[in-house]
Amino acid sequence: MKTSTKTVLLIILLALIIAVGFGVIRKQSQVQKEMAESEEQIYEVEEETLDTASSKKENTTEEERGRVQEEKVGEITGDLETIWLVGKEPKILTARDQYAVWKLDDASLDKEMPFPVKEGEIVKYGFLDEQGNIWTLIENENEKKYSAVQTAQADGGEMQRMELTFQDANAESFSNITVKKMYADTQYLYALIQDDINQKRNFYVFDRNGNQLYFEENIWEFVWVEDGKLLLHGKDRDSFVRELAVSDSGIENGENISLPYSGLATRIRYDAENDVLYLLLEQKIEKLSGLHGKKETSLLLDLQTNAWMISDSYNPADFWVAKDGSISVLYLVYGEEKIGKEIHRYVPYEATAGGEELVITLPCQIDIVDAAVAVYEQKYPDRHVKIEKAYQTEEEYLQYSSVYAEQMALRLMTGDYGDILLSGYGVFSMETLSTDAFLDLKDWYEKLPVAEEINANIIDAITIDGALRGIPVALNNSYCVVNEDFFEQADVNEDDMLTWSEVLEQAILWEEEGTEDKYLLGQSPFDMTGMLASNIYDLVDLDKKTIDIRQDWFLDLIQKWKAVGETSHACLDTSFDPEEEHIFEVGLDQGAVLSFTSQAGRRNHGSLAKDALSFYEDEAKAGVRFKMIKGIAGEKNRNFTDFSKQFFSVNASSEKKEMALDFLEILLSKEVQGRLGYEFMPVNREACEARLEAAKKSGVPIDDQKLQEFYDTMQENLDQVDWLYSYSYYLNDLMTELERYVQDEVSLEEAITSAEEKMWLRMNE
Amino acid sequence: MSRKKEKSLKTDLKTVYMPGFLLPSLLGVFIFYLLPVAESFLYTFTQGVSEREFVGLENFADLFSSSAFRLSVWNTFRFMGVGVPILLAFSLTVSYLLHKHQSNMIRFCLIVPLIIPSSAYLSGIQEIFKKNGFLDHLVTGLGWNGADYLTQYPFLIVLFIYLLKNVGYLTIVMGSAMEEIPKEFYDIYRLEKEADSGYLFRIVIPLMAPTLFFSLILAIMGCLKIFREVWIIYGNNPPMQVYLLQYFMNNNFYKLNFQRLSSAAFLVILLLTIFIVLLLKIQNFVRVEK
Repeated sequence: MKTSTKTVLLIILLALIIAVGFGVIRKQSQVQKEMAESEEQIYEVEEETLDTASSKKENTTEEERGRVQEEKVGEITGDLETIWLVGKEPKILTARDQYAVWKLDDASLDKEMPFPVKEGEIVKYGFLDEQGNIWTLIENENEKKYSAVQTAQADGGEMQRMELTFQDANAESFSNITVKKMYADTQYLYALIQDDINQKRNFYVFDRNGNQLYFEENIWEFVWVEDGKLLLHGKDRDSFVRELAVSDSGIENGENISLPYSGLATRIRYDAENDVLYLLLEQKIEKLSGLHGKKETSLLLDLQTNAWMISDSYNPADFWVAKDGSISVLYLVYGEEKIGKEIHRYVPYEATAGGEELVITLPCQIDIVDAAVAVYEQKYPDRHVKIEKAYQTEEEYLQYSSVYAEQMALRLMTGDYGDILLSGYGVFSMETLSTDAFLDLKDWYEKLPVAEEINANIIDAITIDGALRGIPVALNNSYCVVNEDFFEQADVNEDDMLTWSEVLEQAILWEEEGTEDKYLLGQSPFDMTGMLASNIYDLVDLDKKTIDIRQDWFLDLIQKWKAVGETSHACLDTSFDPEEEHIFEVGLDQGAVLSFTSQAGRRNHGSLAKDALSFYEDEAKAGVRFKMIKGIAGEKNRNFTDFSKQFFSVNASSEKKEMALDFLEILLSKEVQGRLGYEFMPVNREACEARLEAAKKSGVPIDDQKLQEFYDTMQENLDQVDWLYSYSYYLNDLMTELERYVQDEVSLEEAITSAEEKMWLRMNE
Repeated sequence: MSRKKEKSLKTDLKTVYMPGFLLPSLLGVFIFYLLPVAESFLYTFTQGVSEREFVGLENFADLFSSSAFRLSVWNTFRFMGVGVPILLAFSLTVSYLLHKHQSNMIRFCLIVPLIIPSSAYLSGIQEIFKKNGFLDHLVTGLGWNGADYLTQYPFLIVLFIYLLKNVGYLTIVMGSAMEEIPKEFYDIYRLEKEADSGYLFRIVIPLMAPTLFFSLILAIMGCLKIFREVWIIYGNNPPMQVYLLQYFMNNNFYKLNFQRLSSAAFLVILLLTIFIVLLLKIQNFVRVEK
């Protein structure tokens, strides 16, 4: 080959390599960019400046967050618009089949009253007046006439009924209206009505005979100040409020007072005594002092940062500022099917400047910690808590949990972490928790008065070599619902409990018999976590450091699992038929016999009472008997293993150990435990009992005895649980390999060998 | 400039300026390298994370009693025992052939694996050897049973990556050393022996001995550095055959067992130091013999 040809070939090759190199570099830079973005995200979050679209709680730091104690007062039921009673004792009115009046203090049911309707009439709106009497706007469906009816608070007797005479130009076209707000004082009736056809909000004033005295278009909101006096809120060029005085001599309209806010408020409140206007503007409650003089604005409550108990599906609908400064907010909670209503109370308090600082290191915001901080700082006014958190939301943390665990391992080595840290929830392994990086809490815990109320199983599970280096604060609230007939078919009595092989054999039998429409599980995935967890103690012995996953019964069980997975009886996947209406979300009415249910992530839905109600209602609808059990038992034992997410440890090198222990005590207290989100069960039994009592008062139409039964079964199940801290990694190793066998990627022998190797390494490292 | 002044300036340079220039880097080495190493060394005689307790040589005894450690040491030395000779022999052969038949193109191709980032070529390796990968399809297409080669033959896969990554580099190092051998030696050898055979073993290798020792050290270092590639492919839980020493250390780091980690690290350092000193001794011995 000539030199020139070689040179040309070399140039071509070089060009190709450069092109490939560029491609690789480009790809690499893309990957790096993505990584950098995600890293940047991580670091930004670490700097606590992450702007997450998915989260309402953005740009938050503990210091900016201010000091607001949040408390979920309770939940209320009912469908119609809600109105606060302005003035004396604030109350809430809801309606479904009849009126229900709720106390604001504890969201308990005050009284119920029937609707004052006759045949052909429907209720369009209801509200409470200053004296606590209920007013109803009634529509006569045939004649399209509207009447306001006042009923006595004592017996619901009709006190006054007046037909409203609309005189504005649009009144004739009233076919679809939405009443946005109404109020009545001793002389006049005020109404804010939206014409759904023209999409306009119109404001009306009527006298007590129903004659229209005043009409104005495009008023967004109003607030009653005193008899005959109101503040109207709307937007011209700017957002404004204006005084409106109504008297026998006529209507007196004041000047528009421009508001320093661009948007329109969902609700306004006015404190006439102090001339303060409060506005609910999207996720913020603003305070405008000196409305008629020198105006001063201040942010009273930022729900994005101050409200740690709410999530994206919580929409603030109304609020109330009490004289003591506490703020009650009524939320509409959008669930999959229903809109719930919850009341949360916010009490601002001043943090002590200076004082001793306790540092808590967290991967993300943990609700119960926020609650405990509020209690702690109030109990110890000379102390201040600083929270360091790497990620803003739980979702972000879970996405980067391994990165966080690596960072934390390095920080532990250098001692660069807070006095308290979240040591569970995937942050540290069991081996890590057995090191002296964390303080042994055994002696301290045993002397705690609250220890008697804590679930002993979970404490035992986390005690390693006699040392307790973490304190669990919540239990996973998960259970299994079975078609009770299945118990009988399988010839199993309650004392024996179902084992996994019995369950699987049943499915194999269905296949052999050619039975159709019978399924083991009501919902996917058909994964083997539960089955392996129930049996792991008989496969791995951490004390003796032995692994025996070649036992015949276990190999047989795995083969059965695979066999069932290959039939059509493993899982009724409701997603295959979205048109079908499935009750209880799990298809127990469709031929499934088991359903694993977890409350995790269900914080937007109901409560204990609602779950209990669903359980019994769905049982009735399904036409089969339901039974709630903790899970399916292991082959050789009766383990019902489960995991707990959150536990906290004290930095053994901390110079503020006493302060840290005081904080842990507060975390376990009934007061703070009672504030856990509904997805968790408190470890403190008293807090569980309090949850039950709250459920009984919630107004959910469920018999107390049934509710108690539901709760008792749930508690009984929790007591049977062996908490699976130390085995979780082994379980994961085993499952990863066996899944490959189930998916036909490898033989059973290969899967078992590979799992053995991994588990052996883990055990002996 | 007078001789006296010149001498005085030289003295100033040696006594004043030179230490001044050296001081920052010496400080850096001391603070960022020697101190941490010393602290790690002290770790090996203590136990506990927050409160350290002196335990003498207990950590080393504990280390030797650990079956996972013994496995990792065995795997690492086995990998060295197989990988290093193959790498050296292959690199030497290629460099010899390239020395005889100059080809810049082939030389360039050999360097390419050094340029491409590990993550890029490892994804290629995975695509080839994984279940349902290129090789699996090829083999099953030919009517044989395919396999997940990544999990079934991890040792060979890692060996392949090791060779791919290091052959080019060592070929260039050895090739440069061969270039230094005068061509007259070859001519004289041919005149005397009337053949090429034996030139490599009788002339080239003895003359290249220092470079070969250096290459040997590089090859051993390459064995220790292959952990990154193994980790990218197999993650934290590798197949047992490729559970190398670095895995043992890495996983112990996450378990906060810093003492075990430090002990293992120092043991490796000690073994490598002994090995390298021995090599240098042998090298010196060979030189004297020559």
